[in-house]
Amino acid sequence: MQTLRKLTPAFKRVLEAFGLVMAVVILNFLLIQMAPGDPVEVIVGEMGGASEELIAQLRQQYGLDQPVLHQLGIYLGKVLTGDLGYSYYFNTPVLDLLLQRVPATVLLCLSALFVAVLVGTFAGAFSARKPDGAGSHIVTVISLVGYSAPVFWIGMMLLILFASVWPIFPVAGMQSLRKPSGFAYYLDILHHLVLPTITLAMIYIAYYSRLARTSMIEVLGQDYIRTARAKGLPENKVIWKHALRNGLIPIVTMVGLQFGQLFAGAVLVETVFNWPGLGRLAYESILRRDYPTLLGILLFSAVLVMIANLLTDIAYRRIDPRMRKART
Amino acid sequence: MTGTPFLEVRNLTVEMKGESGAIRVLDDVSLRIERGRTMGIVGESGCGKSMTALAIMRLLPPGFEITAGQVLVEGEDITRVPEARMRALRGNDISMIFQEPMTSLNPVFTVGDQIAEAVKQHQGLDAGAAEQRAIEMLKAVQIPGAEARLHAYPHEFSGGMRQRVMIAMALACQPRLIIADEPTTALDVTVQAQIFALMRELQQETGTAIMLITHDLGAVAELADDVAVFYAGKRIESGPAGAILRHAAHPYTSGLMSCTPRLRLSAAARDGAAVLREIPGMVPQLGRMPQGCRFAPRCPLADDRCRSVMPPDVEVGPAHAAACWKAETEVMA
Ligand SMILES: Nc1ncnc2c1ncn2[C@@H]1O[C@H](COP(=O)(O)OP(=O)(O)OP(=O)(O)O)[C@@H](O)[C@H]1O
Ligand SMILES: [Mg+2]
Repeated sequence: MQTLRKLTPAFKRVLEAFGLVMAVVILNFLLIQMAPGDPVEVIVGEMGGASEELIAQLRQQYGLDQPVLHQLGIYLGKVLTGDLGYSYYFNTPVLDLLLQRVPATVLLCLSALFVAVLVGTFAGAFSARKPDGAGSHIVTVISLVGYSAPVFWIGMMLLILFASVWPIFPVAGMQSLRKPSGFAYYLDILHHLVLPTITLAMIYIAYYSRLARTSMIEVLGQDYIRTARAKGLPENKVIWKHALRNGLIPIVTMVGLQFGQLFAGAVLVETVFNWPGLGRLAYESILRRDYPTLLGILLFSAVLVMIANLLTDIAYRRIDPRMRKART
Repeated sequence: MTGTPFLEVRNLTVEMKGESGAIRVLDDVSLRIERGRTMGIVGESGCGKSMTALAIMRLLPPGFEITAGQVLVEGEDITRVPEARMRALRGNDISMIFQEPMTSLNPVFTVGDQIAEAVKQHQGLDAGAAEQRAIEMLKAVQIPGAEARLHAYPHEFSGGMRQRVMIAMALACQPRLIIADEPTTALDVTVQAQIFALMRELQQETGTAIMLITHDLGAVAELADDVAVFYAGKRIESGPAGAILRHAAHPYTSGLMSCTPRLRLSAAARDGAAVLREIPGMVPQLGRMPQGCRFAPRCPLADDRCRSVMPPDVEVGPAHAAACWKAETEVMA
């Protein structure tokens, strides 16, 4: 009974997530149906033209001659069995293609998130200590710039800066052509990761530093901060232990809500920096009218966002004990 | 009451820097708190009781500043010592209990952590020893199941229990003075009585001095050895509790007594003060203080001198002082 009661909400969540993913799949499918352009024409175009007969044959081969709802039914059935179809462009199973690309995107998104939360929170908390001080104003100005500059523009600027003026970071790809082995292999990836991460993280650094500033200023005015000071704790402990743990709560909430946006940002950044992830693949698939691949990417991103939300929920509970179930 | 007291506040003035200049929230306040004794601080809302406490702790809110006077802890003027010295005193020699038990504990740390923290900070105990001390403290403030409750979070406690946790935290380093700023105001009456009883018991065991800020004159009558009465940022009367409760020298103090229903003090009833009255008029606004005695506009005895010249603190009995032109005549009569 006890375990059942514990299981039920979790089970409900999984069901909810599943329903949501299915809804996303259906919606994406219908959206793409409405988009202009015909994949067969693109394929034919790449082949350098083809006869009417061949075109009709291709249509039939890909099932594109069937009514839309019928196509949807087939697609849903396959998705449920883990079959995301074949890429029109690569002629390989979409699932394989995506699984190859997921690690690069997850790596980029997580590093950007990590940097954004770390730098943003630190800058915000720092400026909350003396809201009228010079340091605080500098943080405010920088975050305003970061907030209003478009992602691709920042990317271009960094690209120009590090490609020609000060070439210390690679500006394209995830690995060097001649892959080093051992530890150097990871260092090489890290080296490539720097610019895309900064570009993607910039807006969130700005965002979280403002959020952290507001939240820390509020927390620092709370009674329990006065209690911590009255205990004789050094100011560092008061701020980085007592205040920060509370000040983080709205940031964690925001991270969960913004993960989808972050992923959208990754599409741009991956394209600018030629990063071999899902985002660049999405962009290329749109150009190629590679709908099965695009649908697969959209499905994957929905799942990734949901996993991110789940993780945020867990983090949230860890930080704020009031969110945990009352102990028995 | 000879020699240096544990705490002596001398002519303390606190100002708030506002846009329209400085506003005085405390004006020339003096107090003495003797070792092991309880000093009750009373006065209407807004008269500066909490400001006095925070000034002693040097935890005044931003914008407030000590502009004159001294706070002597065993003769050392702590208004001038570096912040590091202050931190060594806070929570170790002087600790403070606040009015709001619901918000004064950090919601994201266990109560055990929050009690142990002070001990680790000041006595350099390791985690295990500090936790042991926290359990002892929870037992001392009579929280049932101390070992288990150690790992509970503040939201799992009632208001009264949280205030016990605050007391445990304040006592953890065996301070020589505890400043309790209206420790029971947010609690219901039965819990109030329990908390006061607990404080008295713990004081008898540890010999700590207590500065008890309260609106509850009944509690003052029961617990306080000495009393200081505040009015509009000034300490207008102070002395032994018995003397003040029986022969208030300042008309404001007498008024305050007569406002308290069923004051648990037969002497007050004998004087016919048990009849509930209220002091007419309002406390003057900060920054718009009348010339002369601040209580004069509301005082039944005020004359021209009261309205034009601020009365000095005069000795009206043994260790009993009042700032009133009429005080001496009152006591003689
Ligand atoms: N944060 C603040 N900003 C501006 N003024 C304040 C602030 N805190 C207190 N004051 C003012 O300072 C004066 C002294 O306040 P204090 O808190 O010491 O009063 P108190 O005697 O403790 O009253 P109470 O019994 O209501 O707690 C009051 O007039 C109050 O309005
Ligand atoms: Mg107060």
